[in-house]
Amino acid sequence: MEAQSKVYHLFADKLFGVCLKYSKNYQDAEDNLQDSFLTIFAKIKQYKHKGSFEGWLKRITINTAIQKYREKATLQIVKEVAEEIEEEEVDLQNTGFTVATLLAHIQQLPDQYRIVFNLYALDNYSHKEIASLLNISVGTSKSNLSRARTILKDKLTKQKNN
Amino acid sequence: MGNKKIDHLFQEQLKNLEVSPNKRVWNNVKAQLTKKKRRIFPFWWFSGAVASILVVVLFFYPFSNDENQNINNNFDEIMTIIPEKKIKLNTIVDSLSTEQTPKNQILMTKIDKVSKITRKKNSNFTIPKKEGIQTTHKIVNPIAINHQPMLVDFTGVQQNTFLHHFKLKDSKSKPQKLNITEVIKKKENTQPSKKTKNWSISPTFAVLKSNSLTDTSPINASLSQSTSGENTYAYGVQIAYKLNKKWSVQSGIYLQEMSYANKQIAVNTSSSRNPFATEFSNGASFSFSTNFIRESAALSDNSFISNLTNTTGNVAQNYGYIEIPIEIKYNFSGNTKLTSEIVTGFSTLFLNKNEVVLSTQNFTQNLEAPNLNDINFSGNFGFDFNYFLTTKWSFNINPMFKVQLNTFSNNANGFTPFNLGLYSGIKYQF
Repeated sequence: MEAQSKVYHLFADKLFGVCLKYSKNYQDAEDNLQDSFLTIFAKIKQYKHKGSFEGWLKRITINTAIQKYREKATLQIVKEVAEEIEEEEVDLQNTGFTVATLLAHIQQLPDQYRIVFNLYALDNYSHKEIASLLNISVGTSKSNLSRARTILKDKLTKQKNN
Repeated sequence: MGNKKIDHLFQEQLKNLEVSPNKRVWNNVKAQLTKKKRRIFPFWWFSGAVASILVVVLFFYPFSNDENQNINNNFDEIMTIIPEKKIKLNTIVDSLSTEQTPKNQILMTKIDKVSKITRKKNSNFTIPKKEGIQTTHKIVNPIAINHQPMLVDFTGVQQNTFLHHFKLKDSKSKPQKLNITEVIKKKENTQPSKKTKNWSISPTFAVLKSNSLTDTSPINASLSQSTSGENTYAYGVQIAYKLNKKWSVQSGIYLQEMSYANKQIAVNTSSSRNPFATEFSNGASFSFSTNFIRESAALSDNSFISNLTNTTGNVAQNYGYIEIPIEIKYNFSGNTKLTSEIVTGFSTLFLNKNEVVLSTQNFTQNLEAPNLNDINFSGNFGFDFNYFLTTKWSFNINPMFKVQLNTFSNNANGFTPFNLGLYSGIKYQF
């Protein structure tokens, strides 16, 4: 138990950050962190010392989030219809967007968009890998990413204009 | 604003986001971990353990229900006691002769002391008070102190022998020898006639239904709730040895197969970077999903779907063992026509077949599960019904429940396979 406690307290903050980005709210992020650590402790013998331990922990956390999304997706399928959104040119260079607002914007994205955006933009997964993880096509992954970006841009623009 | 810019903005701010979670998360994790450690051993562990202990005990403690043999055993005991007693008697008798006092008087006092002890030690013990042979009985009684009162019945038979010890000091050994030879003769005479048909052999065939105690899949966590057990078979030879009227032990050798299937699921080639994919023995990685049909149906409405990377398919996992059981049987009801027995024990299983067949619209792959152990065990419980056709031949039906204990080497998502089998065969007793 001591070893587990050490691992937890060493990495909980970082992994909770990951959870917050991949979840739609704080409560979900907590659940995700809890399940991730349970998986980590169950699978810790399978860690093959390939790559960094932190990277391995992070992958499990991300995959837990995906797994949770997939479980939920079996219960409800939200059909998202593509909308045409006019692109506005915004200068984001010197705007003081806080971490909290950016996080809130990400959390408000539809589930699949949020996950695709996180995987691609923040965690450097390729579209092929995303497609495999989410059981979707590369095309879907690409279009989800582009939709996510559009929504985020829209939000930032509105926020800036206010 | 370009895509790169927006990605960069989020990356810069959120990439290394660190937030301390609430303490309750760790408390929950800790609670779950301690709960897991307190594992409850299921009954089939006990049944296996109990059966193995009983088998060992029964092998090393030979007992029999044959009453004649019981008496023979008592003969043995008496024969071994006699030398000891002889010394006692000799000393008593010798002292009598040297002291030159009236025999009966001293004998009576000494013997009375002894019989008092006997009474104390065994209050149920009654000493017949017939004139003449009274002393003899009392002499015999001390021998019985350390033994069951049963011996009393027996003393009557041998009283003459012991009387001789006192009446004829010099020739006391002769009748005893005679007696031993008689006993041996008796023993020899009784044994061959009591020989029964203790061994039986039976070629057996069984229909098995594979199943699991949990609704998961040993292949991939994503396949939970889609695994179904299939019907398979087992065949082999069963050998049993009857220890007595109630108890038997049996063993044998069987070929046994287990089979599970996941139908209509999504199969995707994957990279080893995906921890949710399964890497098979040949190095190929696949990820699975059960929500393919729903997903593809929902997504096909969307105009932006260009192609689907996954394909529907079926997974069939078959594995087989050479099974060697050790079981004990207890006969709880029976007559000459039909006997019913409870069977419990365990089996050692040697893996001799391991295949996972992945068949999709586009390809079929024969793979090997990476996590099957070469040696497995099962806890067995069931019933055995025998219908006697003749005294030697009987028809045998044997429903069994066998839970496997060591099927997988690493994470099999809690999959605990068991099978329900209906074994049947023709038994020959000899």
